[in-house]
Amino acid sequence: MDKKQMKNLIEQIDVPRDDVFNAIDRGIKRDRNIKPFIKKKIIISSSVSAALISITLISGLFNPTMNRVLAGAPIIGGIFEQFGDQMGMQLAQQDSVTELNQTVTKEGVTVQLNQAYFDGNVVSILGHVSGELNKGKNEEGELSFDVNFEENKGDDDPWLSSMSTDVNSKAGGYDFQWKLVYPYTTIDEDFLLPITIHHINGIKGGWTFNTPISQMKNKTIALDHTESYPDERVQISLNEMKIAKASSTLSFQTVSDYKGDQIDFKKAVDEKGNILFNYANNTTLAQSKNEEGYTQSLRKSIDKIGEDVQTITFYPFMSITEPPVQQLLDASSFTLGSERSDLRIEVNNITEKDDQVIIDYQFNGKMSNHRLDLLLNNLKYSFALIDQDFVGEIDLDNPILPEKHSISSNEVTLIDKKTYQFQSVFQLNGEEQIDNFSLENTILQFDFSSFIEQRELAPFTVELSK
Amino acid sequence: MEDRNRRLIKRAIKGDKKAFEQLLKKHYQQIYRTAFLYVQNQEDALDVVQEAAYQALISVHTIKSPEYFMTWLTKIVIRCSGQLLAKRKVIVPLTEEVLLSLKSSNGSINDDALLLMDALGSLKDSYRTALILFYYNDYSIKTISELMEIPEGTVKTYLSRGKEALKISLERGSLHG
Repeated sequence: MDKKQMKNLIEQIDVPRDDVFNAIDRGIKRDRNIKPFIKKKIIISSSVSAALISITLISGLFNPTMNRVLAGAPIIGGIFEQFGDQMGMQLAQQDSVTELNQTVTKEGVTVQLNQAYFDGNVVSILGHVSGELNKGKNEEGELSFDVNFEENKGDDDPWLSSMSTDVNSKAGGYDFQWKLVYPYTTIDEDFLLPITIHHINGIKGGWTFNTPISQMKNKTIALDHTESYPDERVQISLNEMKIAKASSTLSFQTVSDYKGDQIDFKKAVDEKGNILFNYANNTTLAQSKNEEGYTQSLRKSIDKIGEDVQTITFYPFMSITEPPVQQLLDASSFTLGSERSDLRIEVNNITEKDDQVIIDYQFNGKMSNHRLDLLLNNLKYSFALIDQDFVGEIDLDNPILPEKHSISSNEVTLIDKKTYQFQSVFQLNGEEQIDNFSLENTILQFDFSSFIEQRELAPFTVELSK
Repeated sequence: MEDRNRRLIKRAIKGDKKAFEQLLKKHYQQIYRTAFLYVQNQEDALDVVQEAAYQALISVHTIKSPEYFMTWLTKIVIRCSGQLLAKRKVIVPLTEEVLLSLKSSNGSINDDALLLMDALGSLKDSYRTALILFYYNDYSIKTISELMEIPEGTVKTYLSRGKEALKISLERGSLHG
């Protein structure tokens, strides 16, 4: 099969355009500081409308004027809604957005900065730009800013490294939203942020603002809780939780004796049974190998934690990766055992016959997947025969088997379904070969990693010190 | 690189979400198919697209030169696919059941394409990645070596071994099929 044929075949994979576009939109809309939770948007709008309905119903009297007034009122946070900014919508509802109303006109282009908020570590500025934007070099519908914050110049501006801009065309101009991640470790509660827009759509102007930014009351709760799992040789330390108006972040550290282990939380639940998050993504802040083990520092954006929450129960889990086990084939029966699970392979017999090595074995232990077809498939690729003189040459970080000295796949047959008895056949004269093959000089390698169950670690409860 | 595309990428790097969105939507077929070749089902491929769009958005500012946008994006798609597969912790072969559902949802897809996907799915990750990047994404060996962070020689080895394994797998598939 040549390149063209292969490409043609791949291009026959049907692409569900609308679904892909939606997936892209969802990915983009997913705010950096709040996890995607589409339902929340519905809850917000429905609670607003539910409140409106109940006001009219409770008043007992159907007042058409009142209803018309309500119908005309903009949805709170509507401006944020148009940018899909759920954090902004929540803050607007709580009256936690600062009105700016600063306007500067230069070269026929007017920039208005309207609103700002600073929640947790995100600064958001909303504005509108209008006027003779078409004098610039951009195509119609494009809006671009050349902007700097504070006294910084050019790309050497820490505010720019995380800045994102969202634009919607509105009333002959554009509404825009800038989102910036606060770039410094210590956070000032209130400060003036000098903004200089050098160019808009290539039009040189110099629109300057001094924008007051006040930080929402942002509570840091020191958790300082360490949970050790000596049996698993794993430790989880919860450092702190930052509770802002519309979001919370959890910082934690995981330590494992083993490289490649993934330790995370499945969910967290408060004392009333409210689920605070389910499998939220992490930002890896640092990873290292030190005396304690393989350490990862992580930060997770989670839902806003309620004021009255007293305790949080965390449900950790771990996925295990372990290095493959090896056995020299100088005996015809032996056991291959996983280091960190009860999985075992009892090899009953090994035969070399007609350019084939035939291995009979029984698979024991609790496996991650009981589907027999998956098990059969994975067994095909989890064994390897390696010339023992070349085993030392394998780079553990990038374990490529030595060419002409290893065979990495085999044909698997199920012999007895009840006892999980299998037979694997390696072809000695197949695609992969071992020069000067002899059983006594060959190592059988098996990788248990893909068979080990994800392990749930005992949940633990942390009291929030207020 | 055409001027408009380059400008779009530059705007995306500067944090213009609209430009970023346009770019992703421009290349949506390649993004989706690359994901699909790995995860082999629509639902997971869409999850990969979503995650990759997010991952790409939050790191787009790190791109030094617009020329690398597509390679950089492909790397993210592959990484996200790998993460999803790792989460599943199993290599799911194309069973009869999956094949049937694929056929019914893709009326036009022919048996050879299914066979190829099945064969690709059965390869080692490293071989599969090299083959997809070379044959489908049209990258040079040098670019693939940068993408996979391995020496060019190793890419060549992966390609030749992958091709060989694919050939065997395909022959076997057509014999059985």
